[in-house]
Amino acid sequence: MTEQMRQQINSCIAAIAQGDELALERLSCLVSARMLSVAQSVVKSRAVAEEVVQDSFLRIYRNAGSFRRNSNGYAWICKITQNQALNRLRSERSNAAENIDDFFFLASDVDVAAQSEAELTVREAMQVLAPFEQRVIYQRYFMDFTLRDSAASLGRSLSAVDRALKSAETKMRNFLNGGTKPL
Amino acid sequence: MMKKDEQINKLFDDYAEQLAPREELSSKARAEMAASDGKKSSSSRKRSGWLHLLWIMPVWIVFALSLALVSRVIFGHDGNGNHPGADDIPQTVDYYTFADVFGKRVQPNDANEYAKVEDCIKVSALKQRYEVVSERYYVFYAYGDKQPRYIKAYLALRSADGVFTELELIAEYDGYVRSDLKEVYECVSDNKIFVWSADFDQSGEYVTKGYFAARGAHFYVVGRNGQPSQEVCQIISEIM
Repeated sequence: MTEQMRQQINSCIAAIAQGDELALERLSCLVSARMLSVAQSVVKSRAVAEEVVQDSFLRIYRNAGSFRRNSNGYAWICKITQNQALNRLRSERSNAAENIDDFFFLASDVDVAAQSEAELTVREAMQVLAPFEQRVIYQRYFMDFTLRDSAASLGRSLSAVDRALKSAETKMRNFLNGGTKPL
Repeated sequence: MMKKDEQINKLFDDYAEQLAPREELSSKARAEMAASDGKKSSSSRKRSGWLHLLWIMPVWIVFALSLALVSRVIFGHDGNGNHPGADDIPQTVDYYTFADVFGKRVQPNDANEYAKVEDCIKVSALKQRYEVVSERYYVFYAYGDKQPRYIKAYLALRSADGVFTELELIAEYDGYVRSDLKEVYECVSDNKIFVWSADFDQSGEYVTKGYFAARGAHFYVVGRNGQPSQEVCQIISEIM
């Protein structure tokens, strides 16, 4: 996620608050795929995840006016999406499953044969992590969460999240540099 | 904020980059937004109609002329003042929605798919005049007949003097109109070239939105640049 893209997202949110329909289109092009991935890191069904994203866009539209311009709009969108997905899970009386692996298999629109090297590498790299580490590193690197965001989201202390993140980063670096391979 | 590991960051960025956009997933919000549009006061609406354009008429005219020249150079007009595709615009069109299409990202090194982009959007001509800092292309196909309906391009251009311009461009094949663009299409399709909005957005960026038809397609263009309006028009005119 580049700083330029973050700024674009923030501009879109501000424009949506003013009723700019094209800004909503632009935002959906920028983040819809990422939102689907976030939704699928919580709910298992792709169809349910798509509904979650639809509902998330509704919340983004309805709450764009209260968005603080100087904060991270992308992380705000990811929080909305994750919360919508968790609400959906609760409404279906399911457990908040530790199914973060699922998004790698389901979120992409490319077919299996066309899966990119990046997608395959992320899948393999995540397998060297413990479930909590997977969640933390995904929130940090994909959802752009701060440590405080993750701690609040996961109901854990800042230090616990920090430890898990450092451990996950070390394991991932080792893997990416040809070290530990997943079993 | 704690610094991110660059290697891991790149890994996730690469993963995110290859995900195809799912614009249809915002259809509920777009419908609600469209439905509530009439309830907003005109002073609070971003696109407040034709009266809004009056005070920026000079910019409007300059940009329209720029678009004409851009389209002539980039999109292959014949140099005789004609728009080869414009007269061929079908009288009847098929309307479709976001839900009817799926997007596929096209990389420049994917020769077969990229040929569609180059054929419709003369990127190579653009690159002769600008440094293309970043480029992203998506071809959107209909679920039904699997034929392309439109191409969407995001381009970040840098001129020789280092000024950036962002372009967002939808090149929609004639005979098809995405339903949410129907209003713009029907308003301007007879005029061939048109600017329907030019103003500062909420972040202070000057944004110009335009439309023109050429070479069997019609184009919706959004230009963004942090410079004042006159400079934006000047930069766009440099493409010529």
